[in-house]
Amino acid sequence: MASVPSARFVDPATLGRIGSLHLLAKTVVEGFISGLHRSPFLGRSMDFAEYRAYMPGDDIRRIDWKLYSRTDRFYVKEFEGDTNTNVMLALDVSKSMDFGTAGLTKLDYGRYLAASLGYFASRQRDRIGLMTFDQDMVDIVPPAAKHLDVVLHTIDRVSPGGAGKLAPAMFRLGNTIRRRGFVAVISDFYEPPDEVVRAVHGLRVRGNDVILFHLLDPAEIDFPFDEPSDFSDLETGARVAVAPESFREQYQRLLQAHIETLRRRLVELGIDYALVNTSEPLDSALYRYLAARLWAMKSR
Amino acid sequence: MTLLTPAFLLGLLAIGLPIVLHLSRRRTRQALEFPSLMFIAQVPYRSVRRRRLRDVLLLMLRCLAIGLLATAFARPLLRAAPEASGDSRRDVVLLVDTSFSMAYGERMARAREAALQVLAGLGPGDRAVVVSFAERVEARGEFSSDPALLRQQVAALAPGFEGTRYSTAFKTARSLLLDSAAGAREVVVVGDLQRGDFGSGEEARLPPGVAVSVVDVGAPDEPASNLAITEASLERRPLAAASDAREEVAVSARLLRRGPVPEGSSETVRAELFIGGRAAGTREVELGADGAATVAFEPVVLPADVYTRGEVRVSGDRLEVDNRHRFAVSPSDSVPVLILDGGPRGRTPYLAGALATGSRPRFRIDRTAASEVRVDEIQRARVIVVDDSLARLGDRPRAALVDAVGRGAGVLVVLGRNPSGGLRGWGLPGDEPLEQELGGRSLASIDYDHPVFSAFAAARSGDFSGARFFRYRRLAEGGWAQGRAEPAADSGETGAANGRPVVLARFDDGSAALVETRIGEGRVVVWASTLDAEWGDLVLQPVFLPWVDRLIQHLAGFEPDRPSYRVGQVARVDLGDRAAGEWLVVDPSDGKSTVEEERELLLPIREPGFYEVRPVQGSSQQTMLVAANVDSAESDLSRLDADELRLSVSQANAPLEAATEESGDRAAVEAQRIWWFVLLAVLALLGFEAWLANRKGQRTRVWTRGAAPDSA
Repeated sequence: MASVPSARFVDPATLGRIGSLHLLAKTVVEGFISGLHRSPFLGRSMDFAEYRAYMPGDDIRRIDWKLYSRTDRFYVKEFEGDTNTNVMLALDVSKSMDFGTAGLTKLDYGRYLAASLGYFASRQRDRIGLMTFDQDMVDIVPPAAKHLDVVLHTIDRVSPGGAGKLAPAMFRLGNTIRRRGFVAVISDFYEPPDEVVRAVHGLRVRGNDVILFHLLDPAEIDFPFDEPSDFSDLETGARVAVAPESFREQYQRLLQAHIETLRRRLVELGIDYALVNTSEPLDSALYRYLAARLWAMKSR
Repeated sequence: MTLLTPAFLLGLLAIGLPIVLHLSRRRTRQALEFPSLMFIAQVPYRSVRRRRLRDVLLLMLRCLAIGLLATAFARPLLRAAPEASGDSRRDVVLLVDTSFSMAYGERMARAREAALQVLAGLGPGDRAVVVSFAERVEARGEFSSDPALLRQQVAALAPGFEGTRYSTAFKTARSLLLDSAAGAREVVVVGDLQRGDFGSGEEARLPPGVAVSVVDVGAPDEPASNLAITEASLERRPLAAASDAREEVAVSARLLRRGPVPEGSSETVRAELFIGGRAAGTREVELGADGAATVAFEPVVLPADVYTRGEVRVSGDRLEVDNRHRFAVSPSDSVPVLILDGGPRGRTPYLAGALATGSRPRFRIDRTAASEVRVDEIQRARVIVVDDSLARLGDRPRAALVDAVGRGAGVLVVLGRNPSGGLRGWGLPGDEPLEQELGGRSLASIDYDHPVFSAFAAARSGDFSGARFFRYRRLAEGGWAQGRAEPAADSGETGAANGRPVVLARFDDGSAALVETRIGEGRVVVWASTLDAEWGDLVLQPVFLPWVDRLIQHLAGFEPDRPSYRVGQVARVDLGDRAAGEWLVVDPSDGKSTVEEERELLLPIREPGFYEVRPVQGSSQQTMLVAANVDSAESDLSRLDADELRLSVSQANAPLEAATEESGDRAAVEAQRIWWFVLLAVLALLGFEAWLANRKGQRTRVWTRGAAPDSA
């Protein structure tokens, strides 16, 4: 996926210094969008959709003054992004997400991503909702137009849970969502591809647009360990002794196979998949989200 | 192997420490948390086993390092008793007697045969060294397992001309065996067990565990019988006519028979005298078992100005080398003596008369008035007697006298009626006051260690106590040495330091009677009274003649040539006043060598016979002879007991610790050096363990939410 050069200005570890998640999300998104304005993709992603009557609180910069001159009424431009879609963020808070070597855990990255997505969606006039889950739903904020603060607040309060399992949470989510919308699942997907696909297929079948953000720490991708050690599963506590020097190659092979299988199976179902390295800035993930959103809107 | 400090082996218990740590670490070691073992668990099992194997290797390295460290501090000693050692190799020192008693009958042949049998008994890997011994010891090579080489060395063995000295042989064997690391060490002594010089002491004791065996090759000859000439003495008399340069020499020899008269032989022994290679006389004497006799030959007339060879021979036994006794008749010595007196009227007969009776050396006496003496007369003299006339010497004679003393002449100053007035230049006071004693003084303090008086030290060998001295000069003693100074080594001379007078005799009032001082190469002796019958009666005493003879000999620095030397001694050959140059030395085997010496040649005596010394650029008339004979002590064939010999040098039960404390015990030091290698091995092990344990790649920091960073 091509990157947006000028948007890479904040690395994820640095984001942690921003105390307010709201501000963090705003920083990320505004930076992303300002990059988009200079991006050749601008025209494609921000096509004008319709006018609507001005309501107090609207950004006066969106008032179409030409139309005012013709009609003496205030109308604001609605862009294709402003579609009032339900955007449901599903954030995995299982114990396996509480791992990180790039200066922040996957859970922290997931929080920042979820916050940024929520802020972005809110800016798009989408209705934002949030569900946190581990082996089942942990917390839920139903999608609503004015739920950004609630969502951000909920995101801010998350803490690592127990063992993770996708299917029960996705089932519950599917039953919770009454209107079709956009579902972004943020997780490390440590389950067999079949089970992941089975878990999210239900959402797709119900007409939702789904994107999976597969978060992995650089250590999970590169497996840089050299010392023979006991490895302990964060979720189950199981231990196994490993001599990494001859192990790395096999591990990476297995991981790539898993990723490719996931990608292929999900694409076959029309589900978007984005592998996210938590050492990289969030804008690439945001871009993927944006592309998926636009595609989803065009396909309706 | 033994351990010097076994208590340190308790350190082996520390091996349990890494095992305990290893096990406890396995239980408590913090695992590396990983999000999921989903993929890790799918990796084949062998990767896990390999990691465990590396831990076991580390554990073994640590245990081994601790074990070696404890062993190193326990000080292992590699040198075990031969029977405890797994090394069955033998090192054998073969000591073969090559003293001249081994020339008796077939002893040397039996010794060679016995030595060859010892060598034939060597096994593969065994080594031997052949060492011949007599007075001196010679190792024929180094430890070798080459049978041909060793046999060759044995075949070359032959009896020499020296006596037997066991102590040096065993000392050599000891030093050879200290360097040996063989499991078994042996010393085999092959000889006739002739008693010889059997010195003992710690240095002759062999290291513990060394087996000693003795092969007696003399037993078949028992009872051994040996005739020997132990001594030949010469009595030399100049012929009556003073103009005759010849002298009469009477030779007598002492004969000895050791052991019984051989069966079938008579007790009559025939002794023959040879002079200049020609028979000069024969005597027969009866010698019974263990008997001794002296034979005296008729005097022969010999030229007195050249060296003459002489030899006494007997025959009739199985050991020929001591049946000949050689001697050299040196040219008759004459010492020129110049007596300076007050002139015919002041002349006394006693001194000259006493000197005229001497024959060895013969004194050639010249006499003149001190006021009329010429410088060349002084220069020719070896001894100058200034008889109460020192003040009458003119300046030039006095200067010549001083010069002569500096070059080695001796001066006897006899004080008398006339003041000396000239002794201050020699560190002696002048104008000594005249003392008189009516009752007469006697000599009360005499230095009998001095060569002038040494001949009279024994009882009934000369009595000075009867002499009386009524007048004498009192010599003021300012800074003089009291008593005799230390003599120069081997010189037999007094140690009168240069310019420092030494009192040789005192009167009974304590005043000095006879004083000596060394000036340059010569000596000055001052006699505080006269040598006449007026001031005393010493000249009338029997002791006067031999005493004045000794005194003049001492002043002349005279040493008579020895008629013969023994093998092993060093002959001092007086080269005279000739200028330094090259001298040719011809030994009895006709071997020649040249040396450059001045005044004196030191000649080591290695074999019996005649040594010739002559100037390289000179005539045969200038040839000096040195006669050499074997040591007659070796002619005594009485034997040692083999067990006595063996036990005196063995210390089978001595503790190993005592061996390690002996100075120069190089083998013991070498045996302990293993602990250094063990320590080095420990260091190497620990280095490898550290490298193996610390080998790591990129360290990974794992973050978990709410916890401190955990370094993997």
